[in-house]
Amino acid sequence: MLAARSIPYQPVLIKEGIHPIQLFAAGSQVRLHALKGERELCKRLESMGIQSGKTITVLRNQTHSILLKTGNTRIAFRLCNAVILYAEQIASGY
Amino acid sequence: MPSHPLPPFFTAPLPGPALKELVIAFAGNPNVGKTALINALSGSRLKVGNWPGVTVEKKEATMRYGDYQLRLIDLPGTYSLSPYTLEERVCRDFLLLEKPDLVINVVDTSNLEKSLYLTFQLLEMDVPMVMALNMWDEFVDQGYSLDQAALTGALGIPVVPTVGPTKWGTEALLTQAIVVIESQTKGLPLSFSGPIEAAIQQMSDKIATEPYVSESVSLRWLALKLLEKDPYTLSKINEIYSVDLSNAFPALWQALQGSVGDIERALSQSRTQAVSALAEKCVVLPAKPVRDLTDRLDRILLNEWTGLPVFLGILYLVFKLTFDISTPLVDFIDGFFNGFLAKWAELFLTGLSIPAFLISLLKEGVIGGAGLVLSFVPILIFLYLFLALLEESGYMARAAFLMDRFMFRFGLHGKAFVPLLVGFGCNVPAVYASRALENETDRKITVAVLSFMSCGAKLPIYALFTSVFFVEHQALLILLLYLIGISVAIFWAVVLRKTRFKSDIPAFVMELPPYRFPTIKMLWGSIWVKTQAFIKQAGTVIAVAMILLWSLVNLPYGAPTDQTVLARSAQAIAPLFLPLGFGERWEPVAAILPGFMAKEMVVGTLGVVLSVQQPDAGAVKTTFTQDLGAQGQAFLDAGKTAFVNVSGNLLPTPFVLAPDSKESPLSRAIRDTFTPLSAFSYMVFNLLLLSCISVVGAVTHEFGRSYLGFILFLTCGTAYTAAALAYHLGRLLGFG
Repeated sequence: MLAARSIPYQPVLIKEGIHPIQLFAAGSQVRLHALKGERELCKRLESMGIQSGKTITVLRNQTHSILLKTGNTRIAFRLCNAVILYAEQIASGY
Repeated sequence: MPSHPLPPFFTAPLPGPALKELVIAFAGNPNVGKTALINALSGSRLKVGNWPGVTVEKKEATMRYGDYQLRLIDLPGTYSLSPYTLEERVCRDFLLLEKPDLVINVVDTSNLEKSLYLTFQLLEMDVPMVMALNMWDEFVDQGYSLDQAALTGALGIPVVPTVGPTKWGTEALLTQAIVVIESQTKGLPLSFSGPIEAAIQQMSDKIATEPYVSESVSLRWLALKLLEKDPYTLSKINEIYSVDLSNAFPALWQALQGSVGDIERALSQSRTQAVSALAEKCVVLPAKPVRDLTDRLDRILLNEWTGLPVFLGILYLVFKLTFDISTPLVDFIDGFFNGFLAKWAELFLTGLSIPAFLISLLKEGVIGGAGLVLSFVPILIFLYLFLALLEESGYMARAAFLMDRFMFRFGLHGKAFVPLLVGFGCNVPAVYASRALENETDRKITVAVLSFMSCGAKLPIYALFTSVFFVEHQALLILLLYLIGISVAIFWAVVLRKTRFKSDIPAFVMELPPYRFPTIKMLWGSIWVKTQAFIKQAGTVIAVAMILLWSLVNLPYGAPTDQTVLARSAQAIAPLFLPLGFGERWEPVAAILPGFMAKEMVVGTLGVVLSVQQPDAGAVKTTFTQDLGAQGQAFLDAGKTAFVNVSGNLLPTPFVLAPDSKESPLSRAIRDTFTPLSAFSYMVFNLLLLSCISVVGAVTHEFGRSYLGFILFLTCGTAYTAAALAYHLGRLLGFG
């Protein structure tokens, strides 16, 4: 289920069913499709385990920030235009 | 044979065979227990914490192991060796330029997949390596198992399970380390796809004879960096060898780009794919997933509705407990130095016929200075204890995450919240608490605005002036002063972010560690390291300043109050304070300088310079033994009071200022010297002025003199302008 939020949606639809990760409700399981944005930040996220193809759980999705879990790693980050994570849903949230 | 005995130099036993010195670097992701592992191996007390980014600079410990003298280098935690962050640069520079004999790659076994990304990058650097599978106990407890043979086979390096805090596996780790160093065994770097490998080979052939290729740098690694057009490597080569390689080898580069697309991304993807494949091959998942305590706690602690109230509750407790426990101990230390020690030192020195001015200097300057430095220690110890508890439990990272959305609006990073809050108690530990911010710019902005958080020592000034002029609205006025301080801090945070530190607020990306129970050893290590640093560094500055200040207040020795250096200086600069409303007389100005040493001294100095005769309590003659006994009793009482403060009531106490039933001589003198408006202006000036000389010591220690100069300019300028504004605005509104 997609979270109803007023976050500006970037019309960069890569593929049907793929959306910016902030549109998924807490508890959703998603597969990361791509990281788009500043190279430095993308590389940092990748080295922290947020990589394309990975299954990620959205633990918290608050207005300005998001908490993701991949494996045993929990990554918190502030939503910004510098990087957008595109993902497709595998399982819905709470 | 000589008949006379040989001098001791010749008869001393010859030293044994020299120890072989080896340098072992510990590299790994943040928060995987590198520092704890080094501490376990060497018995040192490097600071640790369950908080990513504890080690920003490299730290070192030494130990002897058999015939080896080991230098253990604690490198900052990094997720990769791409040179984008300070930690990555420190780590990479050390591995490249200082070429350690061995790298121990510390990994969190429960997070092996994430850790392997860095492992592959380390292997590319072609250094002898051993992998420490740290936090093995947590890994096993969660029901996982690991095919160690497969991991060793794939990486070509020994892997050793370890548990840092309990030293489990550390002996095996050292044994393997020595074996690898002596045999010079190196791991297996990742094999990339055909076109990339071919390009690496071609690049290696082209640069093999170039001057910037030395034996200490792996040719394959350098070739990879040049293919990636790694900006840091290119600039380093340009800087050292004056060779610009930014557009070198265009044919090779374009051919590879045509084949694989974005080269840097292709290399990165190859690594991530290899990491996933290896983790899948080696890690056996538990048959039944373990219920994760961290996730369950986070549902409450990071919840949109409950997270913030819980956080504020925890901070309130930290704040209250720190000051409730330490205040009686601070009073005891103050009494011990300025009462007991000063009294008996004076008597002892008088007995030795030492000149009176020297006795005064020793008593008020040296002993008073030492007392001032040490009186901060209880506050620091308890504050560091509670902060260490929050850090090591894993909660601090969550607090930063929770606060980021508010702080972000004011140009500050989420992690700035804790030092700013601590600043309301005391600015000194707050300066040190800013270390939690890994970005230097964020730290500088935070510390610059920290002084506007009214510290506890300023409260006596507000209490005195409000009790004289604003007795009807004391609490309201003091609240207004605190709000002025917060507003000014927000104003400067926004302005500094847009001007001097013009930059975007760094993206908040942070790994939240799992919750862990802190160990007493780790907590004590953390407290000890920080407190010791304060006493050594800030203490020196404070002690020197105390002696200088004594000279100002007392010289020429024996002169009347209005003839001292302090009085004459105050008389000279008093006209500068005319726009602030309190420059017509020199006495208020004279109290500002001692107040700069410690804000508590403003009230005391006003008493002295306004020539208020304090009632003599009547000197009771006591013996040294009686006084010593009294100090012992005072210490016990302080401990008892601290305990009662904690156990008595954790709820907030209403803010009450004891009303003066009879106006004191000082109150009368204040009423004669100030008007209500000039008193308000004086309070605003003291509110916004840098707290005290101890903060000067702390800022110098953390950022150096140049930045201290900027902060002094900022706070003095702001205090002056705001006080002048308050005064003239008040006059315009008819309060003058």
